[in-house]
Amino acid sequence: MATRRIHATGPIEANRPRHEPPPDPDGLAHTESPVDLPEPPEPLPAPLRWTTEVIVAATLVLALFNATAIRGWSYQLDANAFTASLVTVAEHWYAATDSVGLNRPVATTHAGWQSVKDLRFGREAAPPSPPP
Amino acid sequence: MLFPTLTFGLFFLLVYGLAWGLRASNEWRKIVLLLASWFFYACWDPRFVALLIASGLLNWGAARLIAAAGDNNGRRKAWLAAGVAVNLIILGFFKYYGFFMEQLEQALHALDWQRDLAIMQVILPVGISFFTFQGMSFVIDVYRRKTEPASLLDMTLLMSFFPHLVAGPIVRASHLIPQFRRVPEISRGMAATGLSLIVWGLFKKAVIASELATGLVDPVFADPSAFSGIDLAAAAYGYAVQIYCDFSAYSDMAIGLAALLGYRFPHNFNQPYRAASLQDFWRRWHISLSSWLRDYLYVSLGGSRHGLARLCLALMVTMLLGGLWHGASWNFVIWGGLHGTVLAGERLWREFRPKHWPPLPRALGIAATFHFVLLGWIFFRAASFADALAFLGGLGAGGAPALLTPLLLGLIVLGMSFHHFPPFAVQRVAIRVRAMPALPVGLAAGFLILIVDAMRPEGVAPFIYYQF
Repeated sequence: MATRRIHATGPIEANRPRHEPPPDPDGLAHTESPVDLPEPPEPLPAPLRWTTEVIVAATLVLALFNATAIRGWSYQLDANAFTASLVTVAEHWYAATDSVGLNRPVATTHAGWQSVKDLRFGREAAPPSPPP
Repeated sequence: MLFPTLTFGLFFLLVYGLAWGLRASNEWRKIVLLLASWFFYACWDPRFVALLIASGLLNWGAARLIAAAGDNNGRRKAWLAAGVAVNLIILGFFKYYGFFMEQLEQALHALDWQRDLAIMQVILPVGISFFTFQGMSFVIDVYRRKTEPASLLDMTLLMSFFPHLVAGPIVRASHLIPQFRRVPEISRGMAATGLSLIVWGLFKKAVIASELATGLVDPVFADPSAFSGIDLAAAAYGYAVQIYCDFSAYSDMAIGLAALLGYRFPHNFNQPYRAASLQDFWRRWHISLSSWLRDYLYVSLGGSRHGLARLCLALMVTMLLGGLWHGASWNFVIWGGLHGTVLAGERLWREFRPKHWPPLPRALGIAATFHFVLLGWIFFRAASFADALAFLGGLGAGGAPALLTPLLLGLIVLGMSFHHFPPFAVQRVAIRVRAMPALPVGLAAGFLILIVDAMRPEGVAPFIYYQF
């Protein structure tokens, strides 16, 4: 018995969606990698320096405003002489940032998020919130 | 060492500094990245670093031998078979030994041969399915002359590179080795997209996936009989959103981290729940695995070259093995079997649908596909077949919802809405971001991560795909 030739592609034979979008206003198209963007109209200078500055700025924001997380992380490390000194540094850093109110934005956001978590449908009582 | 932790953040800052500091020497840069990747892997279990190195050596050796065989096809085929067999033995021992021994023991008991087999407890090395598949694809590609044999350093780095090591994407040698051969460059577009993907991935993992897991999915799947039908339905939808947000978040972060080091990883997700057929779903979900299965299994089984019956068989076998790839459990086999059956059914329907019948409206196709995928996820998530049946049986049970809250419902709706965002949303953001000065971009990234950190539950649960 002769086998029939199937012309359509196999069910998992192509990764592109069937419904291709119309030409994109930003010039975006399906590329090999999601980090491939169309070239800018003019070259953007010093990419490595720009990236490093972004990372440094973000790291500083996190170090200044997230001392609570840094302190929590230091206590989760395996206990030894080095981590004991890290805990001390983290505690001092927490106390310093707390004294100028830098820990308050995260605490306020966390409390607000917790109150959203505690919302219930109807009249059902919310469970007691865990201690901060 | 999980991505969304301070430990990983510090590790990455160090690697970033070293990698770009050594850009004058590509070889030293790669050596540092390799050592960093082994350190990253050793944080789970240092014993398995040796396995990772051995696996890299074996695949490199097999590829060299295939290439050295030149035009001697018999020898090439023999080395290919040996290379693939070694990979399968490694994967089979660590991942399936216990499962198959348990099945054997049960079969012997059923035959009244009451003997207890001495079954070793084998620890599953994290990411073994990913790096084994990567190694196999390299050997097969060298055999098919689709890629050149790589140097030992490039090969071991390909398999060990920490952004994709434990949960993909499965990056092929033909994609990454050419990038390893030259000194990488970074553009502001690459960096902006990488950073956007990292922040976006953090939000999906730490806020949506973690909240749904701890507040709804885990408790309901642990004991479905204790909850109402509404809770069960919410948990099923919640799991569909959780697994997408969890796994795509890992892929996004992996792609973003690699981009910050100057490497381009391929796509792994493309709004999968907007698929209008199961075939379409598999073009959008875990793309690096589905394309691997297509190229190395489905095509090898004959694909669409030998008629409709053979095609359906190839599909079924591919999906059954694809299910088993996820873990040694009958539930994964059932999940793969369900997908294989419907994929074959879709193909038959396309072949034999009466020509005058109108095609299914797209919206209906999307809804039907999503709900079929949802059904599959119940088997995928449940601890056993009996639990999955109990879950499905409980969907009709009455009672008030005990766990579903406005927030959890909102997160499910939000997670589903991602699939209907305009395409390339992250890239559109990145196009704007790359033209901005560094300081406001860094401040914005820092504050966004801060907000995510304030919203996430205590601790960080491992990514779902770490177990595979």
